[in-house]
Amino acid sequence: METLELDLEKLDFVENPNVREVALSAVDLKERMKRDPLYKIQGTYSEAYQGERA
Amino acid sequence: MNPTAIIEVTENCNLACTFCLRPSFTPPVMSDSTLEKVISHILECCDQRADFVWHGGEPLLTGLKFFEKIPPLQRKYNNTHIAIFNNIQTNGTTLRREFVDFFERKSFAVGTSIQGTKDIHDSSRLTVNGKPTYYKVIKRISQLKEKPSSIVVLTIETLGREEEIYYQTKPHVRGMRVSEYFPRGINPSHCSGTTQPFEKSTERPEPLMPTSEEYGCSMTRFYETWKNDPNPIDLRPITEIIRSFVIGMSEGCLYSQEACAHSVIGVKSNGEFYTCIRGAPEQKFSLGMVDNKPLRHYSQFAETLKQERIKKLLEGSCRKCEFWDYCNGGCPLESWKLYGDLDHKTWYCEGRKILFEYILKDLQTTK
Repeated sequence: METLELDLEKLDFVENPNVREVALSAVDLKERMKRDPLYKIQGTYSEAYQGERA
Repeated sequence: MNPTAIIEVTENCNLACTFCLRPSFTPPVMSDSTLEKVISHILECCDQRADFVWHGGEPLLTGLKFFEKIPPLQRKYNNTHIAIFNNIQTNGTTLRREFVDFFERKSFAVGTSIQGTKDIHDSSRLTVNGKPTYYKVIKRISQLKEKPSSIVVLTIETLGREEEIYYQTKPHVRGMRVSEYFPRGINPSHCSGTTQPFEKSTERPEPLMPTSEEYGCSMTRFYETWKNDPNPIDLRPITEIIRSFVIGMSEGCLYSQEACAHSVIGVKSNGEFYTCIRGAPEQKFSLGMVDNKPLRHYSQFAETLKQERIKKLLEGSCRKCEFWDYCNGGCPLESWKLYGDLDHKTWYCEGRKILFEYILKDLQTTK
C-alpha cells in the first residue's frame, strides 16, 4: 500500500485561504489530541455530534 | 472506552422522506425504565466522556417530558464525574419553543436536516400526509440562539445544484454535512429497495442513489463552492477530509475503521444495543439487551469485526490505494445493505478518489 505524505511545513503557503485555514487548524488539533484525553475527533454520520464541543 | 451512543428513542416519525432507510410510523417510545438502564449502562462503561446523540425516527415526538428525564438520570449515574455531551438530531418540524428553551438551558447541541433548496426539500422531506415542510423547519430552527448544524443527503435530485444548496442553507446553519446516500439495499429482505447486489458503479442501485462518479463530481462542486466562499461555513465531510490529510487519520465515521465497531454504538428504543443504529434491526449486528450489559463484550466483538474487514479489504483493490488511511473502505453497513457483504469496499470508492485527489491537489498547491 502506498502511503500519502503531506509536507506540513508547506501548509502555511497553501494557496486557497479556506483550505489553508482548515489545514492549519488541523495541525493544532493534532497537538490537542496528544494532550487532551477528552478530545476525540471521531464524528458520526449524524451531524448532531460535533467533536470540537469538548 | 468513550463511545458515542446514538439512541433511537422512538422509530416513529411524522415525516416520510423519500430516501429514509427505515420508514416507520407506529412503533413505541423508549420506556422510562429502559431509558434509565441505558443511561446507567453507558455511563458505567465510559472512561472519560460520554456522548449521547438522541435520535429517531423523530425524537421530539416523545415529548418534552421525556427529555427532561435525561439530565437528572445522567447526574444520578455519573459516578466517576466524566464529561457528558448531549446532542439531538431532529427534523425540526416540531421544535417548539419549550424544546428550544430546554435544549439551550441544558446545553443540548441541535442538528437538523435541510435538503438544500426549498423545491428539493419539499419534494423529498414530506409529512406522512404529503405536505411540504421547508418553511416550517426554517421557522422552527430560527428560534435557536445557536444555529443548528444540518444534513443534506446527496441524491440524484441534488446533482448540479451544489452552489444553490450551499448558499441557500448557509444563512440558517452553523455548519452542514453532505451525506452519502445510504441504501435501503438488499438487506434486510423486507426492505423495499433493490433485490439484487450491484457490482458496476455505472448502474444506479436505487432510484435516488447517485453513481459513484456522480457522487465524486458533485462533491468536488460542493468543495469548489465552499473554497470560493469568502465567509465559509463548516462543510463536512470536506473540512474533515482536509484535516484527515494533515492529521494522518480519518475523522468522520464513514471514513474510519475505528468508528462503528469501536467509538459508535446504536441503541434501539427497546434497549437493544447495536454496533451502529444503521445495523438495526439485523440480529447480526446486535450486541444484546441493556439488561445483559452488552458493552462488556463490545470491545472484543468490535476488534474482531474490524480486523476481519481490514484483512479482506486489503486483499483487494484497497491494498494499492493511496487514500486507504483516509477512507478505510467506507461504511461497512452500506456494503452490507448493498452487497450483502460487510467486507466489500464502499459503493462510493471511485467518487471518493475523485474528491480526495481534488482536495489533495489544492493542499499541495502553494503560493
